[in-house]
Amino acid sequence: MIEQFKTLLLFILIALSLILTYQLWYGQRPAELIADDVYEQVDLEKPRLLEEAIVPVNIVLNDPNDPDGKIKFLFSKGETVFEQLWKNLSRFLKEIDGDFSLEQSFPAGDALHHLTCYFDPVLPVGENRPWLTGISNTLIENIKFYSIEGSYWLVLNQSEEDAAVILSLNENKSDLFRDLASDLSTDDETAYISLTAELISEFLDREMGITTPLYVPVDEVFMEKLNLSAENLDRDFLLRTFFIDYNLARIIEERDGGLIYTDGEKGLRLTNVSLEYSYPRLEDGQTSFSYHDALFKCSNYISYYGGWPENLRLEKLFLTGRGRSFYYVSEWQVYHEGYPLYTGQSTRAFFNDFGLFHFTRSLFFPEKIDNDTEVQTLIQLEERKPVAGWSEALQEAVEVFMRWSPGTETRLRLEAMNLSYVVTGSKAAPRGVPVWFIRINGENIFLEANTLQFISEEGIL
Amino acid sequence: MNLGRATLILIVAFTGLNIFLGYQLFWPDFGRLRQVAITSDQLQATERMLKDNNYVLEASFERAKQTSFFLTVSPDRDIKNDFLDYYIKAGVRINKTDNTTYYQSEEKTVLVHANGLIQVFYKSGAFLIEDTLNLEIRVLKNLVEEFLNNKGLLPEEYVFDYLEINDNNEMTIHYYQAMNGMPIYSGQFKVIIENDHITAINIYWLQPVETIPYREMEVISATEALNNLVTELGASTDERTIKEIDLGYFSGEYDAEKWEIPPVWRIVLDGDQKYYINAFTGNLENNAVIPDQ
Repeated sequence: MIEQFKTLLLFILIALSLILTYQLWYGQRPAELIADDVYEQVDLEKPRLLEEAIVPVNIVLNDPNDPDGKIKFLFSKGETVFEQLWKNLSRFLKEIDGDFSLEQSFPAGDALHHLTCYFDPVLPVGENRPWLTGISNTLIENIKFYSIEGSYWLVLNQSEEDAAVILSLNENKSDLFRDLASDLSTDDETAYISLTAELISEFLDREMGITTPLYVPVDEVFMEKLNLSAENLDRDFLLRTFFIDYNLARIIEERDGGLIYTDGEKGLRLTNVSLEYSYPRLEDGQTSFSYHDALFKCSNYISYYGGWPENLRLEKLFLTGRGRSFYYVSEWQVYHEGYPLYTGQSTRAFFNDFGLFHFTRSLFFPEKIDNDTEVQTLIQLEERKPVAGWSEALQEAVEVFMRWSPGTETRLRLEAMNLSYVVTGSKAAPRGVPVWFIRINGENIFLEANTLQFISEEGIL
Repeated sequence: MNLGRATLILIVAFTGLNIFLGYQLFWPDFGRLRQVAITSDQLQATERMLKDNNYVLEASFERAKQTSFFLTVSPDRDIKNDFLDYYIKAGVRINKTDNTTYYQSEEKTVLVHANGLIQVFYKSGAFLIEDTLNLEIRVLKNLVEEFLNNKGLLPEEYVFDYLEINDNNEMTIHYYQAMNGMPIYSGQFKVIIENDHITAINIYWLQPVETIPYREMEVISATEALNNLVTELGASTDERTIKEIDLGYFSGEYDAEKWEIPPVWRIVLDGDQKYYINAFTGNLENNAVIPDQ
């Protein structure tokens, strides 16, 4: 009896040891493996090609029916005409290889000015670039198209003051441009004029210089308030994109509902309407790559970290520095029917040789009634009123500026002036309000487009 | 040997084996004592590296593998309410700005900041005892704690950290917070003594909300933390002494609803300079990574 009990006990012990060994061998997952398990493949948006990354800030067409050449038509991002025109012009510029002769001078007196493309950021042209591969590499601020007695000329300016590259197109290319220009229709388009210091001095009792070509509408312009919605960002996706191992990122819940993720080195802050990423360790770096490479890099960043939507335009790209560190800054802006939508927080990237060290993103888009391109407006049934004229807007802006800097003797510089939208209202119900955006001596001034009421930058979402 | 004796020997052997296996399985903390995170070679290599960079290791530390997880905390509102109850009952004037509330009486001013920091300033000071400068630390600490306890201002689970005396003979007693014996270095409490009087109390105390055990991970070893710190600081021109290296929790202070804090290795250099190495990532912890709020 005892022997049988001992045998049974031995079997039980052997079975138990086998079970425990199995548990120890296979059943427990070592803690150090937990972190490794979260490495996941992330499907990122494909960055845009260079020819899709840069589009002109605007294309200015001279009215062929205006003998004085004062009336212009302005096309900007978000307008159907602009998209088609730039597509054609871009293809035209890409096709120009050796079909031209380089000229030393340009007979401006006999020339008929057709159109100008303004680029900001500047357009890289030349060898191994998408456009104008037949000329030496250069960065172009504007391209002017002229015709002289049936032949067509291109004047490429690095800036308004710098020496230009002058190309006289051969017959083939001249015909091509003639066809392209003849397709353009300016019916129903708003007429603009070029703003000059002389024009301003007619109604302003102060001297004011103009630092960049500016165009203002002379026809009535109708703009309506827009219902907007903030871009819907995929938090999990962003987390996986910014943090290689997001399991190491900890969460900070802000009182306003915002969330901050940080692993002690970098931080990502997400709210309902924006994201902000920071990696301070990389700030003290240098920048050895070219402007051309910077274009690729910024295209990658915007595409990887939230994507590059259709009406988002690369607005700025420049090299700057702080102390001994140098870095590139790129900035993007949403456009709606040719007008930019200004937000309180810019969509902007800072990067250097080490990589991206600061990135903010806050985008709003007009709400669509259905899946078509029609935009819902708030005052569809109300009486439509044109926006205030440019001269009244400029006078009001100067008054606002003088209130900020009373008694200033500084010469005024007009640096920007255009119609646009600002995003106001609440985060739950953001609205796009039409404004005159005017920059005087570096100060941004937003005036409600109809009433010219000042809108503080603090009030912009 | 007969079969009965052989069976008995096997029973004893398998019982021993089962005890060993059960110990490994069900006493993981003890079990890991056998899993050494720092080998003798690694320890010697770290000591050589420290010596080459002019650092002297005087601290001892855990060599076994350890695991930890994030801890969710929020500003401790109970302690704030206790403080305020006490001072409001004493009759105070209340002024408020955007980020700070002031409670003022004849003798004291209490500042309650939005991020949870509470500061008490005694105008003429609360007398403690004569000749505090020459008291033993233990006696002084007991007196201070008794003073605070009598006023109901002593938080729970505090740990004495160190006493600091500056050139003006101003003494500051530093405490930090703990949770089940694990230090939470972000929770701090300090008492300032001048001329035998308590002149100010600063308290920043946290409320542990929850632990996150499903994200339990192995922490880096103390030697890896030391290596990372020396990489960050670089070689020292003067000899520096590593006085302490301990595992706890730490993060910056946030004006937030609640936040997760990681385990850190706190490394104390020369007695008063403290560095916090994230025990998961090995990064030196600081506040700058958080975007402006």
